[in-house]
Amino acid sequence: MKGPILIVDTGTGNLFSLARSFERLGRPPRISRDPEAIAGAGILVLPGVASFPAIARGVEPLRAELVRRVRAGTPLLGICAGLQVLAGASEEGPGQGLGLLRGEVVRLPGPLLPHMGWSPLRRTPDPMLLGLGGPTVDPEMYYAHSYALPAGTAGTVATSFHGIEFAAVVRAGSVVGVQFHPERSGRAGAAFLAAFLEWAEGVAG
Amino acid sequence: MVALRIIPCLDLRDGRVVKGVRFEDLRDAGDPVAAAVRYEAEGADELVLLDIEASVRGRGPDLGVVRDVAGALSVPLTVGGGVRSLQEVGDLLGHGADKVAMNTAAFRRPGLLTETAAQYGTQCAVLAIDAARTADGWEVALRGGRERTGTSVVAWAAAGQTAGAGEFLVTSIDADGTQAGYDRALYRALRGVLERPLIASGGFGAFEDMGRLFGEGLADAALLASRLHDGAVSIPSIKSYLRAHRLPVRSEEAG
Repeated sequence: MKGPILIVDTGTGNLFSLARSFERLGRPPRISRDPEAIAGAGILVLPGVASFPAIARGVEPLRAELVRRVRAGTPLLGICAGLQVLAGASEEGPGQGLGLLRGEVVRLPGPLLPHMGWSPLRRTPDPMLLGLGGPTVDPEMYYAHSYALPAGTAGTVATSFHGIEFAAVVRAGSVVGVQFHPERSGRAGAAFLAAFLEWAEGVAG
Repeated sequence: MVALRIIPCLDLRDGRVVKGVRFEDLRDAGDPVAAAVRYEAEGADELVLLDIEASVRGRGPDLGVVRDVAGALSVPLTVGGGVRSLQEVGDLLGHGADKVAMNTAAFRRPGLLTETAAQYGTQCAVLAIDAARTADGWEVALRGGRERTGTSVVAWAAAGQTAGAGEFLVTSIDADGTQAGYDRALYRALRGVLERPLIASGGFGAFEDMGRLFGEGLADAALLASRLHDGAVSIPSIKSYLRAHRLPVRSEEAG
């Protein structure tokens, strides 16, 4: 692995819980918003407890470096609003995403919003997801969101459901985005992060 | 389908859990970190940490305790107690809280909910309401029930939703501690105006109480404190009961 895991601080995330999750896996991350740190990172993580406009503002100063690193093949994991900002735009409000994923973030129909709590992950047979849960049981992950990418988004490898089916895990090139919070999804979430790291290390060679 | 949630509540005073968490195998029963870890292992879907002294002393929750508890957990944590400003919300999130519960300060200045939702997303802003029964409904109570406002709970909840609250934690202070069952009329009235997740609190006495609450679709989650802490019920036994009654709960074996 070249370079550390870097949690990108956009001024909006729950960075502490995420950092602890990687520490528990024996991989303490760095946290920074410095473009030079992003340039030197082996794996990038873009967290988000944020509205779309807030995280779009947060990534703006880092846009060029983030896009450059991803285009160069550095693995990046976007979480919740950190997934949404990988797309170009959102119905939630103004702001320009990174445009690394196709499609626009839409508002879920409800009936209750936000989609708050544990919902099962409907997986395709993607290698990153195969080890999660039991052979017949879908792993349950924790969600807290009112907006999501549609299930038809290019690269969708798992979905979940709240009023409509939506993209729960998207993978495109070296980018992975998850709508749930792996750092708050108990053992299932930790297993996902471990699987992501294993995949990322393979990608990064 | 989102699972119904069982949420233990840790009430803190001087950094210790009050109402005494009695776990036989814990050396220090009042330690919030030990209690939080134990509840997560038992299948708690989230935890709530309320600093019950913060409001009285005019400060926010104890950030050190928040950090210790959040760092030990891998399920979501909501923190409340005396939160008055967006700055304090940000501090709590920075110390590991996932959501912030606001009560008195939001009632006095609903803009706090709006600001929190705008910066951190509506899912982050939990509006806590203490409801006191009146002749024809419920009124908002503040400061743990010592102050009655005369404002309708249902009207305030609707206004809080408009202001930006993404989840509601509503405690019936009449039912609280009685073990006489939930005030289902209260939650039914709130369901009539809210399009947000609703956490019910106060009145749990028996499994059937929770079965009725959830079976009638009146809440998305239930908050439990003393009955869990004193060992009268356990999270696995509640979930077994709900599962047996075809109510959706998270299955720990999938972890």
